[in-house]
Amino acid sequence: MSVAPAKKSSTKRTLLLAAVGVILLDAFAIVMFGGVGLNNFPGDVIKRSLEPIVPHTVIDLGGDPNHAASLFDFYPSITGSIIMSWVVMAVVIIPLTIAARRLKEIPSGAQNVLEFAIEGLTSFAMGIGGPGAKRFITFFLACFLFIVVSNWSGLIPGVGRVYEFRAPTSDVNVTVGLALVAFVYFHYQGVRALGIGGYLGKFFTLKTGPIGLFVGVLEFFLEIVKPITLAMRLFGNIYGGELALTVMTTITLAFIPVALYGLELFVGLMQGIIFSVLVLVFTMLAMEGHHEEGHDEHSPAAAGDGATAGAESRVAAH
Amino acid sequence: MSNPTPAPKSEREFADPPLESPQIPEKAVGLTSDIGKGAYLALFSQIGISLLIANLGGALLGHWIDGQLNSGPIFLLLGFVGGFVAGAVAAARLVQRTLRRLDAFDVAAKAVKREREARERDAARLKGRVE
Amino acid sequence: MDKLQAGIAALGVIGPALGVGIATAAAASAIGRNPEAAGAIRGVFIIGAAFAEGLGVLAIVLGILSLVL
Repeated sequence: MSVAPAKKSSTKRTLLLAAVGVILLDAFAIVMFGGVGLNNFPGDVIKRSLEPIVPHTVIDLGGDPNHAASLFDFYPSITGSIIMSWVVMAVVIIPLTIAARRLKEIPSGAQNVLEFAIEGLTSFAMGIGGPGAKRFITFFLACFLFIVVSNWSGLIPGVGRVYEFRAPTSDVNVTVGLALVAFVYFHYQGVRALGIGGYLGKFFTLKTGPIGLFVGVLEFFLEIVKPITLAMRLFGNIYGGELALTVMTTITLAFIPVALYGLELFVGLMQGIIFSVLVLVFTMLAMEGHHEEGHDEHSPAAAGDGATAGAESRVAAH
Repeated sequence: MSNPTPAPKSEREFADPPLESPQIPEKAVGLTSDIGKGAYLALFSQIGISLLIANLGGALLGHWIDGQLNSGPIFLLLGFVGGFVAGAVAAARLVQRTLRRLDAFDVAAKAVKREREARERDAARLKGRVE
Repeated sequence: MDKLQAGIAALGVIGPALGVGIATAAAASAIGRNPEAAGAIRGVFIIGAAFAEGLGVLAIVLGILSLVL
């Protein structure tokens, strides 16, 4: 057996085996959960297997047996997404804590991977925010890890179909909560950097004339839009992706869903990056003093100082 | 810390991030410019969705006011147009400010990279001449 | 009938999609020709694409409104 043809045939065989396995898995899934006997094959099955928007209540704390759950209600209960978010927290926190306990001078194995990932994300965040962003990297990393792991948790088979587990970010309540945390965070940072008067003076200023005042007031009210956009984008992407996976799995069995699964992995990562980058950008914009905006739009020097220093420091450190 | 030429003090002042260890030298800059496209993606998606939310919110607010005042679709139209303008203004300002920041950093990183490459080339040439 | 209205309204996204596609192609070829100016080209591209996207957003909002109202 020469090397090159053997390699080729082995790849072919692997692909063939994968295809056969996929078909077998399909047959198993149809026999177990599918709707071969149902009438109206695609429609009814799709309707039956769709994930409802309203999260399912697992543990009822309100004591009202006739309560009908709706999307935004303040009825105390523990839903599947809350349980899954606890699982996600455990998955993120426990290995990191264990790894942080046994840090070594010369990294090896898992510590190497962790350091590489964290360093990459850190330099990425510094690239956006400059050296001033160092204080916010903790929050950036926390957002990123939680969101990415919970996006990917929805891709585990069974999560979303079982009532007890549901990907946290495919529930609009969780994403609204995340967005509110981010909202409070970046306004707090803005107030801390500029003081309450300075921070409000950024919006209600008379220096730039009546049009400037109008734009400022408009921007003040549009601050509400920021958390809504954060929440809705995350929810829409993840929930829509899961719906698409469900529908494609029902209609075309496994061939398109395999590709779609890869796409969803990528979308989950990108949504995590987008959310945390936007929080970082909003924080940096909230901290920006009000002398920097409005006047010198076309001079990169104002923002350039910090950025240049950051880039040089990173290279100089090595 | 195997930098052949000692950097001036002003550059060193920032050079203390505790998370950065000297194991990964030049990959940091490369990683930034690679994943840095994620920042542009975030910005671009934020433009569209903030326009959408502001526009829809304005229109729905106008519709609600119409229902309260029992007037025609006046406030609906006003809210539609006003929401679009407001969203456009907010998106434009966000893009303007963020792009300024990103561009400045991009230019700075490129300059630093070029300078380092030139320094390495000089060092290599010097070494060859000595041998 | 409402759903048909919404669908027809959302068809308006085709125009901005074409516009953003053309803008991306132009930006890509411009960066290929002149990689030094990539930052400036990217900025111009984002602003132009945002204009196109705003028109698409109008179509989507009309569609949603025809469902809601």
